[in-house]
Amino acid sequence: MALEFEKLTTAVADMAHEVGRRREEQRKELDTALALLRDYAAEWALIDERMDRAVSKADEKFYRAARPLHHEIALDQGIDASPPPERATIIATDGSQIVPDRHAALLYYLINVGVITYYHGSGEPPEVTTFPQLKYPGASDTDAEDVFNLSSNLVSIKRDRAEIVTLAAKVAEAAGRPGPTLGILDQRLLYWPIGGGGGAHDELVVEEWQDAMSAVHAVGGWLVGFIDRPGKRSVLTMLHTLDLDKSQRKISDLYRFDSDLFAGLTDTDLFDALLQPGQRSVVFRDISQHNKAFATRNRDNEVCFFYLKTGSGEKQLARVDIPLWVAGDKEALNQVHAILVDQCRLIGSYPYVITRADEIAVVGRQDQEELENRIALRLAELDLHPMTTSKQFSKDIARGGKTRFEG
Amino acid sequence: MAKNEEEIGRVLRANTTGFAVGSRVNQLTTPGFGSLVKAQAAGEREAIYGLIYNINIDDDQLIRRLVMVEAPRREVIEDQRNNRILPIEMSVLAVGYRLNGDLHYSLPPRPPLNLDPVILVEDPQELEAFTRNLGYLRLILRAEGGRVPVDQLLVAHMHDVYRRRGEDAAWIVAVVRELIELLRSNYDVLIPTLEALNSAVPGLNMEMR
Repeated sequence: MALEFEKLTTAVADMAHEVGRRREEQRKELDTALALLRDYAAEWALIDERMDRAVSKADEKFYRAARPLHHEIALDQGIDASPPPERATIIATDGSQIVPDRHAALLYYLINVGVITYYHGSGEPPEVTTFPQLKYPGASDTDAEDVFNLSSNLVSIKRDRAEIVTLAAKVAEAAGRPGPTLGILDQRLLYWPIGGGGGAHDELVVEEWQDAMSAVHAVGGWLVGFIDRPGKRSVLTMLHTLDLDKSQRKISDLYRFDSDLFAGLTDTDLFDALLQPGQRSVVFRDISQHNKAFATRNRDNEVCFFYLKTGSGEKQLARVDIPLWVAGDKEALNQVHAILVDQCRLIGSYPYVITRADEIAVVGRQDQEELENRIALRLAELDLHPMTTSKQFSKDIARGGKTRFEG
Repeated sequence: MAKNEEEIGRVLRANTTGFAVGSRVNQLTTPGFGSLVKAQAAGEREAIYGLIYNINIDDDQLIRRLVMVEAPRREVIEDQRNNRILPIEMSVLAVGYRLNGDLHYSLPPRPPLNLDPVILVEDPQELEAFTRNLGYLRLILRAEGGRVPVDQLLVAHMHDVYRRRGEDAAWIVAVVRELIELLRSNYDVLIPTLEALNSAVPGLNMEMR
């Protein structure tokens, strides 16, 4: 039955009204946040004192904020990009997957990682490749039989792991090329498996993730996680923390009103208003329980970040996660900034290599149909009865989607 | 396929009147509008000859964004041309076929199949053999009124073959005479064809005298 729109008429009108009201409120709150950022822009001693106090008193399970890594450039300053290095090797990976479907005729899952290695300044064509992995019950390299009861979340976690492990291997391969080597992930560096079930499994996943980060560091590479238009509000939480004395709220309750903070604004709103195209913010250290765990295991892998205005359009803003070993090296930091700006300019406002890695990796519906058709054909060759759905599928492939020659 | 034959792509789709060829960028250096090509089956089936009458280069969203950039980087251009899967599509008008070693100047009994290799006819003996009989001109003229730019195709093809046959003046004079005969009641095609041919093949007037 089609949606009965007339029953939503009032709700739609109310929603539009609320959006208008909220935008007006956010405009005022953005002015407040920008004023706070300017007030505390270089109050380093006060920032340290209040953030130390907040970290010690807030519930670390929930408190997520930021604090400046360096005490040199004022927080309200936009930093221009320097020219990119003459030569650099820029590598991006992205992943795609087919999740197991226990109702389907064929039980398997597939992970496909796409990689592009871009030789900046060389004039050479980039190298592109994919690493598809087919997993099925009984396969020698499959983790366990029951893996096929996994949720899509668990396959996504395996894909995430494959992305960073592949990236680390490719960065190692690029050693010796002219200029620096930068590995780029299309996601956060401060990784935590979502939907992993918790406990030892999640710990192991994070351990493997950090091992891959360390592998990049060990071969002298740089690493970033690029998050387009992020939803974080760590810097806003920091501003609120700094100004807490003026509010009626306690430090211990900070997390409880996180979503109400500044009428639901995010750091994206704040830095979109502050930065000019190509500029970055100062570098912040991520304050969270997860990052504490990262730093405890390997201090160099503690995750820092800056915001980057990628284009002139509204909210063309990214968060760039970097490990401490990049954040603490000013030359590396400046060159990472410059390379990302250069990459964004190639196609407007988003890194070219990430666009291509995504395109290379993606497994579409047509690919899935073709794969399942090939599996069904191999089954038939082995005189195994192809499942009805696969047989039907083969007919669909043979009969459907054809076009006549039309010049 | 003989060792010295150059594959320019593979059949995407086909019917008895022609076929579409999918090519990579690096296969586009030699064939051009008007070139004689053949779809060559791997087995004993017939080879189908045709003329390229259209070359289509598709775009997509990423290409459109790159076009807006002031000076695209060499690396990006190379990536687009070498790595991305955007086939160049060539449309071919069937003009004859070879069966059991004999050439036929009519539509083939069967179209080529998907993924049959398509070869540019460069071998002088094969080119000479196919173009010796001008019966295939009728099949080109038959496409008039459709999507094939017949007059331009004739000129491009004749100029290409004239050159490949070592500036064979006798051949081109014979072609012109055949065209005059075939198009005597269709001046709309004949006149612009002869005019264009006159510009493309210097000395043709003299030979005609």
